[in-house]
Amino acid sequence: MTTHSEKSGVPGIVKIVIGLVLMFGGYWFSENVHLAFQESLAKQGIPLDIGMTFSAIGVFLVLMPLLKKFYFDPLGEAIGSRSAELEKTFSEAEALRAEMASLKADYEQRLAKTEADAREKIQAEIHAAQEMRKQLMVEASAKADEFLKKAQEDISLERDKVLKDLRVQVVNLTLQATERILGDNIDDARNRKLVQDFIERAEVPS
Amino acid sequence: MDARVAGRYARALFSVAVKDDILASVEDDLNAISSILHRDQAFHQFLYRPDHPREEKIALIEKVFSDRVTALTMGMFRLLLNKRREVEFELLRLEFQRLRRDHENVIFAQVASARPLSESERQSIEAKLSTSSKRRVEAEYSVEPSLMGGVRVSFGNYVLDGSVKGSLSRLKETLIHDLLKQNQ
Repeated sequence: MTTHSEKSGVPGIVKIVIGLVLMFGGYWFSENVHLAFQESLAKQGIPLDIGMTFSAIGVFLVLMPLLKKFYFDPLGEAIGSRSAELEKTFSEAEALRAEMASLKADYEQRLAKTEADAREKIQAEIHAAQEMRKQLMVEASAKADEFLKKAQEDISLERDKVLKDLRVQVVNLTLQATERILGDNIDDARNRKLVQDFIERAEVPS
Repeated sequence: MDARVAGRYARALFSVAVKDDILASVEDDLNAISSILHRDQAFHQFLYRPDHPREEKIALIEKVFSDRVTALTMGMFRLLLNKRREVEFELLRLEFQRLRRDHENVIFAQVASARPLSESERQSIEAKLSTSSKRRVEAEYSVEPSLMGGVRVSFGNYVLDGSVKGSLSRLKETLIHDLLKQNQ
């Protein structure tokens, strides 16, 4: 409205002055001047009071700038401010939405990347685990073979040892039996023969 | 007992005995004292117990041996008692014997047999050793029934084993050696 008044080129104070003139002029005219056609119209049932009409126009002209000043302009400003605030809020909401969309896109991208990385890592771990499994299997197999070989060697050694011990035991028993037999059969004559043989055959180191 | 200490006393005694030309007498004294110590346990215990005063020990040996052994032997015995080395006596005697045998170029042989040897057998063994080594032989004879038969002669670093036990031992060693060799 302010813009419209400024466009019309008539300042408010002029309107007020004109309104006051019309208001007081119209009132004075209504009280003091009685035109003939007014009376004829009154008689015909049409009570037209020119002075009061101009006075009402004057009141209207006085009220309009005041209303504009104290009501329409603040209201317009409030509405504009509110609109601007709403615009701002909408802009901010839009910016937030855009930011959210951007964040979401970023998040989704990162999520996808993370998932891809995780899949890659899982695959790498699986591959490593499989390699380790293969290696462990090979090592376990080698160790098992080694243990088996060692066990076979141990068994073989143990068997040889037992056989050896057995043979030594047989020798010991045989000689013990021989000792007993000889002990029973060596008499004095045989002993003297043995001593004599020793004296004849012994080789004394010089 | 300390063989090194006994050795030092024996060498000292031996050198004086050689110098005085009484080797045989001193050795006889030592053997006699040793024999008494082995036979008489009461005397042995009295002499070797550390809680008996050495003056009493010296007085006793003076009384028992002074007119039976040489002054040199008596002096040595008294010295041993004074130095509380009486327990080294037996080692001293053995070392003295060894020194005397070395000095006289004598071989000491230990002859063990399952049964007692006759005099002729002993002489034959000593003659055999003496002829081969070209040294005089002193032999100590013992009876070991575990030898079962035959004789075993030890001298110096050598052992001539003509016993049945020795033969069986060698047979056993040979058999076991062959068995172990077979398994390799």
